[in-house]
Amino acid sequence: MKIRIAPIIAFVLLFSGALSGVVDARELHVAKSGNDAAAGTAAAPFLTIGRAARDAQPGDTVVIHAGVYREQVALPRGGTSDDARISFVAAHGDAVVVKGSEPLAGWQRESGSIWERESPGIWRADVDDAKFGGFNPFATLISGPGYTGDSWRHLGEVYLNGVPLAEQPASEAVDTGARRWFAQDDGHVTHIWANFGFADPAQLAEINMRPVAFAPAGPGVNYITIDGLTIVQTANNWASPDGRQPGAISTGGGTHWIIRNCTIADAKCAGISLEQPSRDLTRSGPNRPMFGEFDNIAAVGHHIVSNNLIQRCGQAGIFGVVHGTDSQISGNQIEDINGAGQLSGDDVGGICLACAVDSIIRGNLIRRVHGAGIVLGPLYQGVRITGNVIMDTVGSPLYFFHSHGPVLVDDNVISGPGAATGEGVKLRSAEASVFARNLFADCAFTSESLPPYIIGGTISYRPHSLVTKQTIPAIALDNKWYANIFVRGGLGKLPQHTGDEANFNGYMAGAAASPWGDAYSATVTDLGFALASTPRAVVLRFNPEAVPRVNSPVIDTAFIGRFALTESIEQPDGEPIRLLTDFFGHAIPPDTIGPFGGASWDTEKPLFKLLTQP
Amino acid sequence: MNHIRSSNDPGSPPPPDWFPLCSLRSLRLEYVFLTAKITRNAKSSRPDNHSKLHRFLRCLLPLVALAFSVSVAPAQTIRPAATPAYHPAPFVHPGLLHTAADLARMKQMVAAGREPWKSGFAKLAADPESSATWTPAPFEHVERSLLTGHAVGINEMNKDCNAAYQNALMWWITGDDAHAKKAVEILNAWSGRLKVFDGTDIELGAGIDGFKFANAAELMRNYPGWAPADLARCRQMLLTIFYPPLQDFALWAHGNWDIACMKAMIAIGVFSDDHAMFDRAVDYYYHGQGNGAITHYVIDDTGQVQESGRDQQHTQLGVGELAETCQVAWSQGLDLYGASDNRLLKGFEYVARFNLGENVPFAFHVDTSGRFPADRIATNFRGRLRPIYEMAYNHYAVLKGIPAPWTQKAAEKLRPEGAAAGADHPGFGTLLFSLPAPSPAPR
Repeated sequence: MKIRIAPIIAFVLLFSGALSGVVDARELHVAKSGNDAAAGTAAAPFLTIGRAARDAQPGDTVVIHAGVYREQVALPRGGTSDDARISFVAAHGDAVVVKGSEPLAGWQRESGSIWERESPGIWRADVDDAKFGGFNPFATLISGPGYTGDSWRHLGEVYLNGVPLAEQPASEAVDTGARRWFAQDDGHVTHIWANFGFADPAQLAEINMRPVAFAPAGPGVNYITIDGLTIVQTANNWASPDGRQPGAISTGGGTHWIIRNCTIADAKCAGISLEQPSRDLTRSGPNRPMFGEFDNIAAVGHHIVSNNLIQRCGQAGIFGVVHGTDSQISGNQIEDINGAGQLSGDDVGGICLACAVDSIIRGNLIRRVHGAGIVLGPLYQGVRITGNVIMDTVGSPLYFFHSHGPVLVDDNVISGPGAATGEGVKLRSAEASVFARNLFADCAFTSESLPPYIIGGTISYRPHSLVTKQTIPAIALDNKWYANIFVRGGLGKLPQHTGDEANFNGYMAGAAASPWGDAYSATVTDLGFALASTPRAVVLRFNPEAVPRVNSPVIDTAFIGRFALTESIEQPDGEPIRLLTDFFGHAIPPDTIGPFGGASWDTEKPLFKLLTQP
Repeated sequence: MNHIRSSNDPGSPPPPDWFPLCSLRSLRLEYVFLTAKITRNAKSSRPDNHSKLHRFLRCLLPLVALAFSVSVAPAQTIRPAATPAYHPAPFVHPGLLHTAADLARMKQMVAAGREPWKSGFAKLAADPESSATWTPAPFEHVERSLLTGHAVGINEMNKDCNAAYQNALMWWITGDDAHAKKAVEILNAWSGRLKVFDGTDIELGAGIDGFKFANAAELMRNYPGWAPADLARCRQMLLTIFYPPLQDFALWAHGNWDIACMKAMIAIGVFSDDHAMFDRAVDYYYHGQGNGAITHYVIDDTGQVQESGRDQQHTQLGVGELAETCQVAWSQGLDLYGASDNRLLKGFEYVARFNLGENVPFAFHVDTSGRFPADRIATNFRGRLRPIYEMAYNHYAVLKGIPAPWTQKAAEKLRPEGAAAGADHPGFGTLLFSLPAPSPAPR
């Protein structure tokens, strides 16, 4: 008897499809060789990511093949669960670059037009305004609530070989230095003058055109995955908790996204934004506190942002309003933020989160930030900051404001700009911050109560929820410092507020202990310590033998105690936290303090292996 | 490794280590670096002198530092701690606001038509919440979020716990069984229905209404018409729904929050024969971290009160509820009224005097949490006397012979005292707390 194979194979395929759980999960392919009128399969891919996004259904994966995609991808829908996501992934081993820019050719040498003398390096390009569609970044100023930068800066940018030039306030200034530009829109045509120095713009001159690379088309777009893409050169505007927070990638009010293994670079303002597009700005005061309308923790946040390389963003690497809640931010390398120092204020930093409950910030490298390293505020509760390296910040590596807390900051290596600058750990109306087993080098420590700008309406939540418990003002209160190592900058000038405690700390190389606490801490004169950047990693030279021995107790939920208002520092699921392992995950011996307790120590230990660009 | 519970108990000091350490080679790469030489791993905060004597002294220094270290009260952080046993003997029942002797006194005086109990009783009897035909309205989920303007079932609970308590009193005084049945009916209605009690001001709800329910239940505990299973269910409600939200007091709030927790805790403790709970409440009165402890609420011997800068309803609420706590302790033979040299009386005198229109001294004061600095006395609601003064006047002046002139004047102004606002106080102090004549010294 002849056995018919085809039906058997068909049955097996059908059956295995059923076993996979999502029978309809598809792969949609996008390639530079593709066509948007095609089927979107591997054999007949789409040309644009947007085309695939329009088709993608929950459970589908959009596989993007190598190439540069100049698009703004609007996501019309999201997935429906963790098993039915909509994913955008780079094909294995492929370099996929999504650019907010367009190449611009046709540059003319400028001769004798609006300047008094000729400048051989000035070029001009004219762009028909119709080409910009509805959005002309060269005619749009950077603006928004809390923006304190120059009033003449636009969202536009000119790039040569991928490197941005510097906008000038007036055409004359383009003349006076290389790598500068100025633009003027006369209503029909946008004229762009650029000084490329000795370079020829025919190499690759680009201008940004699109304000975002990936964002939802509307509310309720959840369970999106973006994995392995490079996203650059977006013209996104200023992010603020009092307005919108556009990012190169913006989650646009959605929840349960996964953004991982991506490179985000040259975003005008924020890189990755866990955005909440709107909130009730009329809410203020104890009876109707700010952010009080977000009261269902299951309906916000739950994002994973991991192992991304985020570089050269103008305002922040990762920005979040409300949706940092129950999110994990881990293993990211965030650097060169606000590089030109044009911006300032509470919304500028490596990671900035407002209204964040039970967020975990773990194992990130944050460096070269002209601003703060990590900013929490207003409103955070149950946040954990652990195992991060923060270095080379002009502002404070840690800046917390306006919250009842608690926040646990443990096992971080924090290198500040020098105690004399007054920057280091800055607490403003921040309660219940617990700093345990960190290494603080060259930091100042300040804590003060600010007038309650939320007019007595700072929410403290019931633990692990967004249900309002109380709305009294936050003041400087209940901040704890245990088992840290302070190098060349200690708690000597920190005033004591109600409930503040310090103990079991080590003070080195001139760092002074707190005058009001530290009943059992220790001081040594000198120590060999060096934090360095190599091409591959951030490394630490450190001799644990030199650290003073202090018999610190185990720092855990019971030891810390319960804060009167916000209760215990614990895991988001209510389980206790016990600091039993160090920065590298080694068990901590009983008489060690600081982030390193492991028995063995190489002369050079990488704290963070740098993420390489594809 | 043992858990350390206070910053003054760090475990054994480490052994001295005098081995010199080598300096490190410097790196060639870009740095954030510190000086490279290492001399000694020292254990004290004075590392420089190398003499033998100094080394020896330095070894001792941690121990010395330990002995003289100033303990910073962790005023807003709670760590569990044992409290002394203030009342190891079995509790007296009934023994909350009223003992059997108190109830017998009221009954006798009313039956004899003597004043001021006669007029005091008329007030109680005329109050709608004393009616034997009251209809309870229990809720499954009560939310007290007056802070955000949201309340579910709290008005009903206030009225019903008053009705249970007042009906119980009416039964004790008149002997009318209808009142006993009604009190028990109300208690059963709530214990059979209530599942969840929460909200932004839950400590106040659980404190004020828990105290009132506990008092009602205590008065009915020996009534044969209250089935043991129902009494047990009422106790269960108090222990599992009312007690948990107030067990850590309210360190972040104005003192009246702490005090509401304290009075309910001592009452539920006595009612449930839970001595540990009773001890915690008593200990808090004496030594509590927050604004409700007696020396934190009545801040000094002038009698100024923590909430004097807030408004005059809250000052009266605070001292009134402190007295209620003391009255429960008194029923059990403990004299909290006398603590810190009759500090509570000073509070009553100060509050009464100001609310009778007189001037009182006021000093700038920051409370234990640091959240509520007060720079001047508050005049809001000045003169609106609450029915709290008979309890304090009779205890200090009549029973103990300690003059309480302003408290007396306030009591006389209201006499006979009527109902209190909401369920805040028992009210009806003229009936409940008037004493016939100065007795010999107590106990």
